[in-house]
Amino acid sequence: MLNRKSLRYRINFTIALTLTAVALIFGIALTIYETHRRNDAVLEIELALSQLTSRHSEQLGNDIFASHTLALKATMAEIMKRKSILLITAYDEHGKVLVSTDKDTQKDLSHELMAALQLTFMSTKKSWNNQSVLDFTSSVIAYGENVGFWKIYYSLVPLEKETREILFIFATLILSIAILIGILLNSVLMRIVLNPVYLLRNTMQHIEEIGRETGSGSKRLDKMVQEFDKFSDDLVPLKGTDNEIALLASAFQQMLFALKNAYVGIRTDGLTQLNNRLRLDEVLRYEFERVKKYDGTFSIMLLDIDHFKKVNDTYGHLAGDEVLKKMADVLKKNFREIDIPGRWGGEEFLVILPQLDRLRACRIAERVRVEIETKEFPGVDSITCSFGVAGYRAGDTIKNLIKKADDALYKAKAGGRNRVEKR
Amino acid sequence: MQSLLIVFVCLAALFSAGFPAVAAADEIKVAAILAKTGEAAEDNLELFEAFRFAVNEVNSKGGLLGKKIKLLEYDNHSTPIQSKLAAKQAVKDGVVAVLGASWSSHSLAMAPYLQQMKVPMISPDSTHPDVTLAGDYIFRVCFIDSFQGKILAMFAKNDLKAAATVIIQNINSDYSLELARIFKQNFTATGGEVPAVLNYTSGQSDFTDLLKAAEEFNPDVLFIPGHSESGYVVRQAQELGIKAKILGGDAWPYRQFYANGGQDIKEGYYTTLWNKELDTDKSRDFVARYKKVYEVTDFSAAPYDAAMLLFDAIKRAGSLDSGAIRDAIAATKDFDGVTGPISFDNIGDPVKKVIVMKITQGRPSIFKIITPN
Repeated sequence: MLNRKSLRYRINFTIALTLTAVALIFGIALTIYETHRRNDAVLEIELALSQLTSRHSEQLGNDIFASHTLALKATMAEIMKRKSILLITAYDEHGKVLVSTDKDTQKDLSHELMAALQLTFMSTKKSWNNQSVLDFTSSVIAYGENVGFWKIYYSLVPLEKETREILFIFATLILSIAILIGILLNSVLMRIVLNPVYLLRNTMQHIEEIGRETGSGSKRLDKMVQEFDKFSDDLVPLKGTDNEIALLASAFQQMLFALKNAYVGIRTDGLTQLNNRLRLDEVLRYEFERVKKYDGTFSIMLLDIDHFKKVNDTYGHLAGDEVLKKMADVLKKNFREIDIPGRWGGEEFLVILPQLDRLRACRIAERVRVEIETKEFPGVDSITCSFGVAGYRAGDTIKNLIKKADDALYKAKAGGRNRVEKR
Repeated sequence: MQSLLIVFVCLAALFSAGFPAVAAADEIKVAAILAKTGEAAEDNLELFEAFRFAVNEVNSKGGLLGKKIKLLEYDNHSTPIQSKLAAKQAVKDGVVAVLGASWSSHSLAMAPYLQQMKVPMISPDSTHPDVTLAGDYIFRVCFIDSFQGKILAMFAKNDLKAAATVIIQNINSDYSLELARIFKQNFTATGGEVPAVLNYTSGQSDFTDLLKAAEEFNPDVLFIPGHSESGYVVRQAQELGIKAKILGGDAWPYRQFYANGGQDIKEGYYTTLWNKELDTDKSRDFVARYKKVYEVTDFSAAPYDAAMLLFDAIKRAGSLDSGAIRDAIAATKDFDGVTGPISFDNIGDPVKKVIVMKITQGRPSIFKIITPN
């Protein structure tokens, strides 16, 4: 699901890596802390054991000196009642074992060790009977005399248990925090960056689907722009900010507008803002395909301004252009929404009337003719138009249909102008 | 030239002996090492008194070899280590011989050092067999535990008709441990039974738990080879209603023992080297003289004999050379002691009679005297 090349994977991977590094740093800090804590604890144990030694040194010293093994055993048994003391061995001044609470411990002290132990103590950590112990060996000093030695094994198991607990608690804490931060960063990433990106992608896909719908290109473009506007509100992750995603969406919007303008521009007549010949040809082809597929019908209407050359000659070309613009307004207002009016060329206009037969088209043509005849065109005398209407019949081609409309128009012109003829 | 050499030697001797030696030129320094502090202090005082009595007696009759005897008293603090330290100090102080110690644990600690330094030592009453094994400079004037323990075992078996004896021993005391061991060995050898040997430590004064444990074995005899703390044991045994007969060794009859509970004993037995009731001329005479100065106890005679034997040896040696004194002590033949005649075997031990005492209502009296065969 998560593509290794995706932004989400890479960002999450970076977050995970960073958190691992942070967790590692905390882990190292924890280890250092724990090592210090343990060393301190061991020092405390050593202190306690050396205090224990001095507290018992007179009694121990005499018992060791006089080889009172039974008394030593009794003293040691009393001391063994203390928690964590696992073994006690007493040695005479030559380092020979006198008494040990562990019958297997019969190893005498080495000369090196005894030399090092004169009037002091040593301790090392070691493993004994599968558990960690502090091997504490001390000289026993009575009345200033080094009369012997004793060894205590002090269990470090409680200390190790503490270490395990501390490590477990802190490791759990660090990991939980890392995972929480990871989830949080991920959700922020999702909410602020990725979700808008996905939404944008979905919107674009949706808009692309609209683009594949049938119907007028400019209308589809309009719809696409509208759809985009609907989505663009959701694209802004944090209201009131100019964040990058919003800028991206806005750029898309601008692009759509530009696209629409470009599209509409090449299919619109510059003077009248009506569809141009190219657009009319497109629609004609589209309507032809449609009627062939669904067995319907449609009509076309060709109209020409009567004596337009005279208007140009009398009032000038500017006035002529104004008449053409005014004529476009009339055409825009007097047809159904699905009808497509356009400038066919010069003073000639073509209107495509989908789903209408020839007779109903003629009625509309008649109404429009009256409308033009009665409309005032400022600066010029009254204007009239001649209409040629042609309806599609099975077997017609585009060329043939236009020829029919042209013929009808010729007929209307020949018949005295300002009239509707049909073929 | 020769006179110069003599002056030189004299100077060297002066410097090596130190300044006190100058003043003590006409003194014979003898050490008495016993406890003045610690658990043995009360008991050992009785021995100090006897040593002082002997020294005073000799000095009042003109001293020895024309010199006064100077008794240097050392405190061993009732511990083995400090006994050795006291012996070291005594040697440093230049004593010709050492009297002491009393408790076997203390004598055992001193003897090897004095042997090494070749200073004669005579213990008045350390009965542990190992004391004199330290070497040929170590002597004693009492019987030893291998004999005493055997006598006690035979007495328990034959006179007290005991089948089972429970032993209560002090594990800090070499004397107690050794006497218990020898008793057990001899008692079981004659068919007796020792169902339990119970331990206590120095300084303990409550023996209730121990005695209750002993009672469970239903013994005929309770053998308690301790020092004066044995007084607590016997009193508490009687308070618990223990019917077993009570038996002890030669370390019982201190004043402190009676004070601790010995005075309440209805019936009990112990062994001793000497008692003021001993009906000999020497003994009667000693008691008559001694009681004018100190109270006579069972521990008055042995230290007196030890001191007098040493002074006799010095006289016979005719010099203060420690080797000569040792040889004279070893050569002692039938020394006429208050406790009886004393001759040493090659180890340094005399052959002595054992007196069995019976305590009735807190009052001791001689029950029988056993002579070694």
